[in-house]
Amino acid sequence: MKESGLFDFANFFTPERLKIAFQIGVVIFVGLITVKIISTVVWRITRKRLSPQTSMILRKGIFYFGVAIISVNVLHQLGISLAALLGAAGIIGIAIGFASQTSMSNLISGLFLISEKPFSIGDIIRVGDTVGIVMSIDLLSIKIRKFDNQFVRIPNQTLINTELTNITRFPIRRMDINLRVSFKEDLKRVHNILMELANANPYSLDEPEPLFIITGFGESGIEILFAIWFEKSDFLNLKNSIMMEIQKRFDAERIEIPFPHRTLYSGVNTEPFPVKIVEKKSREKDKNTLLKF
Amino acid sequence: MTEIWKPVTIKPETFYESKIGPVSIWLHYSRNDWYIAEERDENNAVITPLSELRKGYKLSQKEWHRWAYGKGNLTVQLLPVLPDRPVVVRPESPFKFPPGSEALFFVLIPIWIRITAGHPNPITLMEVPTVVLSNSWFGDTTSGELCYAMKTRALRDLSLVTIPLFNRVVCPVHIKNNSTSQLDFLRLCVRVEHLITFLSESGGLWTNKVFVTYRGEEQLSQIVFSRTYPDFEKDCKKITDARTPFEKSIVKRSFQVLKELTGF
Repeated sequence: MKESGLFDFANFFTPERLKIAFQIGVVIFVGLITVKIISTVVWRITRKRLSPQTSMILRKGIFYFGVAIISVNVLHQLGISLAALLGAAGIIGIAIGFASQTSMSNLISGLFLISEKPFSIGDIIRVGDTVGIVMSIDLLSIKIRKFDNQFVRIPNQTLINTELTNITRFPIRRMDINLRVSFKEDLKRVHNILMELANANPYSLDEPEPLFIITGFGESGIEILFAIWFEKSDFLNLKNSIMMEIQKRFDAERIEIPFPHRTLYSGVNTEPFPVKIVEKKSREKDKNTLLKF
Repeated sequence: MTEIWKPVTIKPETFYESKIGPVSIWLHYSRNDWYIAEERDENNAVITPLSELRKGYKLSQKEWHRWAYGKGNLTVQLLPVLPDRPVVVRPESPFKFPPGSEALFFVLIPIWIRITAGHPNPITLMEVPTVVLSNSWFGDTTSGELCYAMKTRALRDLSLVTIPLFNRVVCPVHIKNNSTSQLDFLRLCVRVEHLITFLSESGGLWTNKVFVTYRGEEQLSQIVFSRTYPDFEKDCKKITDARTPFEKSIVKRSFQVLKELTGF
């Protein structure tokens, strides 16, 4: 076949070899198209009846199974013995297994995730600091689209080992709003106003009822937890509307939302440290006085 | 009063207005497109049929919804329909049913206005709620149903209200306690999607009567929808169909807990 170190193309591409190459090409081309069509048809039939996750796994399973059959066929055409190949595959498999422990761990974790179903495609989940919509659940990893349209791939092993929150698992959610009002406020009046606002807001559910808890006396005011239930798709509508309504109503009712502050005392039995606003022209004079003090 | 629900053929390039309770609806047809605007004024509840507005009214004066329509028939009709989700009705004060007792209530449900265009095969352009009801959840927090919330006096006697009402439909509900325990009626889920709207001669709006039979805690309650108009007013005519057609009798697990009366 070789003459003077050069590859003899003329003798290599014999009619018989060309025929085999043509047959392999046809098998790959027709096989891949057929597998693609079958997997797509199955996906279309099952996507409305099964969950998106199951439907996608079924689609991928059919595709990979088809690819395996095509590969076996191609090897057969090439005259490679499948028995010898499987024997070699056992040894290679062990070697690959050692070399790809992480991948195998992800794979097994993926199987656990698929059987456990802590979330499905379309759910909003939080893993660590990442919050996003689940795009796909694969054997090695899941893919998430964050709300700023960034793509995140999280290995399945991480999901098994990390605390995961499925934000949209249940149809309704509770929005916790932490408020602070001044110590002088009538808390009963504050309670009534907040309940009125929740009742008037169309996105707030009247059942389960909104929650009003005085969580404690803080450094700057009385701490309140005001929690409202809502249908999960109304998150933004409720968040924006209720916050604006609380601020507007508190302003109208002259309810003070105190900013963090600290009062200084010069002694146990004395009045608070006196602070007075001075005019511009007397500033220099006061500055000198303060320096002396 | 019944005039308001009749079809009206409008002139192009002209503005029309109708007021139904607190909602005002503006209609306009121009160059193959429909324009509809709505406004809500809770302090001004009147009812006026669709009528032409003075000339010189400008398109820029409202926030319009716009539909591509073509050169079809310029007939429009406003129709009263029930809300698109079940309504959870809460009596202003709890009501108790001793074993074997029964009672008839009248629940006043705020209607939505369906605006249709064309004749004889009208298309729905939009639906406008006359009252924006707050959301409510019926069921437990992990499963259940999104509903609208409404407080009611759970009227036992219709003479307490003046009929016709501006924007409310009267739904007669007959509840019977066939169990051996007392039933505390705190919340009632009215499945308005199964209700038909009838219009009486006087302009009153009614739904078909609903019969609920409570058989005990954790038991299925029988719910029967009457197919005909209630006999409180004469000569009622069906004006809109139920959003979801119903079987004559449906059995649902209506009473989830002792203190809750649920759905039909």
